[in-house]
Amino acid sequence: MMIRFKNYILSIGLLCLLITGCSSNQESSNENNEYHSPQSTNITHQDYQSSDPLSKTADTILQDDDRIHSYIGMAIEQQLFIAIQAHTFQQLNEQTIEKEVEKKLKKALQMKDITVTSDQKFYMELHQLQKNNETDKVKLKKKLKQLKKLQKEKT
Amino acid sequence: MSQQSSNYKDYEQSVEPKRPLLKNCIKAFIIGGLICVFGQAISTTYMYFFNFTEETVGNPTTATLIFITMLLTGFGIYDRIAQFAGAGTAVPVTGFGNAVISAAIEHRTEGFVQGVGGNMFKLAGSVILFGVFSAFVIALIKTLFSYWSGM
Amino acid sequence: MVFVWSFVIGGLICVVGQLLLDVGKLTPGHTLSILVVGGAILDGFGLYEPLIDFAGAGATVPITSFGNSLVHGALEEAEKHGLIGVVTGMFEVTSSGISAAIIFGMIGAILFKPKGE
Repeated sequence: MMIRFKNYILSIGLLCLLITGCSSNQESSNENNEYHSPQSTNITHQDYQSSDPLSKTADTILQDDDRIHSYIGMAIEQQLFIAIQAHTFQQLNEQTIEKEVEKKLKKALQMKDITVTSDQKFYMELHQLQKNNETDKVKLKKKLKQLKKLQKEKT
Repeated sequence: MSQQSSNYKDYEQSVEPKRPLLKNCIKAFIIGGLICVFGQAISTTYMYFFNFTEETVGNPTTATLIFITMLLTGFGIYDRIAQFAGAGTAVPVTGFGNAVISAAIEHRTEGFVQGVGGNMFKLAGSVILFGVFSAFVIALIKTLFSYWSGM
Repeated sequence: MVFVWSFVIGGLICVVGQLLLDVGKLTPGHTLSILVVGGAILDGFGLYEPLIDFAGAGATVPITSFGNSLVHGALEEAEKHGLIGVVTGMFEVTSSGISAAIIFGMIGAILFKPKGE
């Protein structure tokens, strides 16, 4: 009975590994392999249009960075909040990438209130906002304040 | 005398049961990996449904894993898995939890103060001791180094 | 996918533990202590945090992460308050594992009978 139990556990383990292995293949086939340009989505609010030079500059800087897989940004009233997701192996350097991108953006846009984070939570939150198609300015401002506060937490 | 003791050592080694190294490593890899995947599932759930970030989610994940370990240890299931998986169950934080909890449960008959309190930290004690002390030394060296190179 | 890498890295750390047990012929106490010190050393070189970013729970679930959080807490506090921070800051970031083990150990001792039910 113990031997059957062991075999059961081993086969479940291998099955899980296969399944997760297969799902990771799916992700890589969705990427633009040719130029490694990251998919981008920008939640814009009425203050910024996608033709606005500010968000265009931000887009250029983020698209230029090969290490970034995708990003979601939120811009409201002189505040910029960007959640990035690096390619799988680049995630080892994601803290460095985060700081470099923030510096570049601050220099290029001459804005002080820029937050760049590689934390998965913020990517999820911004993705959710995008899905819900939230346009109410007050709600977005509140959300941004909440996200910025969350980002400063250490424990 | 020393001839005898080295003879005895050789005899001891020849009679000691052989440990199937590769099989043990594979079992440890799979079970340890599964526990970590389970922990990752818990982390992702906490990040999605609650207000935890990647940085702060480690604490509730550990607490939840140890809670589950308490249930498994209490019902005697953890020991069966541990016999099979060796280091696969000892290395994750669940193994640490199991050591503390099973010692607490076992010694409860001796009373809470002497039995539970006195014996809980048999394994955990050395982990905490060497963890804290090595962290102290490393942090001290690093801080002094940063002062020295800062000057 | 973070799940694959948490499996691989977590598994590998456990294999290191298994090697210490089987080849090194060390006791579980020795093995866990060595792993905790290892985690602390890796964080001293700044290598453990990237591993956590990469492997998620694969690096935070093994006992090595305990060594990592201790060093992390100590270094953060030392940055803020000077050398004394090395002593005072250690358990700032890492309360969960030990507290949970103690609390649930006590609850377990109250609820469960020895030798399992």
